[in-house]
Amino acid sequence: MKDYDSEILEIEDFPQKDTRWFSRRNLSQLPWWLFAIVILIIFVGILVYRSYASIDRLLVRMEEDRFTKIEDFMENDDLVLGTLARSRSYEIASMFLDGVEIVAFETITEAIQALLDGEVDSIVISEKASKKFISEHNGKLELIGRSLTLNNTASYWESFEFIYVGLTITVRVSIFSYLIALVFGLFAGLGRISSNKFFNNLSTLYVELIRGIPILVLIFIIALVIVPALVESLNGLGGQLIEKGMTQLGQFLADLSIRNIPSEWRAIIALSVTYGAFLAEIFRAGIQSIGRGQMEASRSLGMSISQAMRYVILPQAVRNVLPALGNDFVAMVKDSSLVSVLAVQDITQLSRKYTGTSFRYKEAFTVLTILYLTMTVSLSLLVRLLERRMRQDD
Amino acid sequence: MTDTKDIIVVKDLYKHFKKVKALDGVSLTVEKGKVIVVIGPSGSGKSTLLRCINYLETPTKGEIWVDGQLLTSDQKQLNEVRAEIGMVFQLFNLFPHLTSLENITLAQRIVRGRTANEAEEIAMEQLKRVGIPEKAAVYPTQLSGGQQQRVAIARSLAMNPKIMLFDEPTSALDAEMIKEVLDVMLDLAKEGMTMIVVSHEMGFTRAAADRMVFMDAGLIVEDGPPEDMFNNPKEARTKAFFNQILK
Repeated sequence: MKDYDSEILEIEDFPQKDTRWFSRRNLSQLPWWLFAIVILIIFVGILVYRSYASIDRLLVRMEEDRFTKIEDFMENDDLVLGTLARSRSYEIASMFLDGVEIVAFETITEAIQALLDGEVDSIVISEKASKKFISEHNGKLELIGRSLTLNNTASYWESFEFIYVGLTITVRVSIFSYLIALVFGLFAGLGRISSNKFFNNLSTLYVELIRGIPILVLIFIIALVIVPALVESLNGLGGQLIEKGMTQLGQFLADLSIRNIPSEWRAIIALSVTYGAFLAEIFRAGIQSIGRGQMEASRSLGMSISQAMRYVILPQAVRNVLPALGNDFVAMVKDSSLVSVLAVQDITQLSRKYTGTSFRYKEAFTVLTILYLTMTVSLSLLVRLLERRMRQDD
Repeated sequence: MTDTKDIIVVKDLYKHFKKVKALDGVSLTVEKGKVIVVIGPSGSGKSTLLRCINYLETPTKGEIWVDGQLLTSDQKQLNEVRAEIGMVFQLFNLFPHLTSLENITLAQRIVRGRTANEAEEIAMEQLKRVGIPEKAAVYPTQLSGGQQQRVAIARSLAMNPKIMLFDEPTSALDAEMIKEVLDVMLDLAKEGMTMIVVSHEMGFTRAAADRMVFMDAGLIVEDGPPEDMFNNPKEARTKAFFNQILK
């Protein structure tokens, strides 16, 4: 007979290794990005499957032999195509099928009746929606071909090819904005802890102002109001310089036009001013995290405040805030999408452009999402790696 | 002008923080080559006095003369004077992102303008002097408290200071590490360094101090040779303090 007590004891004394792969403990040991990838694959899978399931096809009268696919309508002027009004198939058909007569029906029933009556030769309809009518009019209707609205992996690839061109600009905007923001942030951060009242107040004003305005609004304000205003005042300055005889510099400034500053650079200025305020707070926190003793020791060795900052405080502070800085770079990559409102041709803007003519929202925005995720997830991984290495160093 | 023999002259020094009167009229003269030990209960103003001497704290009132110069808030003068005054802290305050050697060479290079080679040579010399040349390439976090404090002393000495200030240099150390730091300080005292030491290490005081200063409530209560003060304190407060710490 088995001893119940000893069995309990055995389990408690020697915890068995969990051999089931699907247990909470084993699952929690998996890296988080594996989950991200799995979720992503499921998401894409559902989308692709759904697009196959909802493929629009051609519903025709039985024994139709004048055409087999939608493109045939362009070659035969006698053929009339029916679609549902305000449907995607209608929009696409009217855009791409040049010279084809298209009739838009308000309801499916109307469309089916017209097809049976011979007013139209085919209607574009999804397989699912047509099932009911095929069985209703048994033997009179059948589905053929694939319609123009066909969603398949090729259309994802096509979206990708259109959109990924903008990656250069997205990356360039992110990196340049971030580098400039680092400079702004460092100075504003130093200003925030400075004992100089003027710099301190100026930095505080900058940080508080920027943090109180939505980034999108800031981009509009800086790119469309402040930068043009600056250019105008430079024009005025140029005019005065010409009067004073400095013709060369004066002429240069007077001729400066807002059109000389491409919207990409205006976007970069806007983003860096914005992120400068965020990074300032990171730098401030980093500097304040270094104990007072470090500054005192440096000063007692005869270093000036700026020497102590440069050689003692900042190297430690920056090290401490590296993960936070990395996280903000990831955020910058995401927020670079906002510059699309200035018609900068980044991946977001290209997706919008692509959907504007193709109506392939699903494909374009899925591709866009995956592009951003690829960048942000891999950058986040790098930041985590950095964090872990720093913990090991300490 | 002050006598050149008196390397530090503190005249009627006041330091008031918001509510606390840390120093309430302190005058002190230190001759070249002498070792002064400052004792007193916590909050008596010993550390504040030390920190005022190299202007880490700006005095509320009073004069501080170092090597014939009256200290002002002029940053350039302060940087120059501070380079001549070494300071050792209770919590070492080594630079954690630099190795022992780099800790010692940094100020030599950027303040004294020495070349990297020169600075390293001097740094190694000082590390030998404090007995841990083998720790040159090691970061502070991997050193014991005693070793860290010795690196801190070497860092100050590498600047060739005229004066060394010690602010409770052994208070944060475990008992077995106190001796290694005190030994270094004793050697330094024998070599004729001018030192002001805030410490309650009576063994060190007996062995090295030329004078002992007892402070209480922001004032110097008693000032004299250590043996006299140990054996025959004049003031009641000094007596009470000795009774407390020697028991």
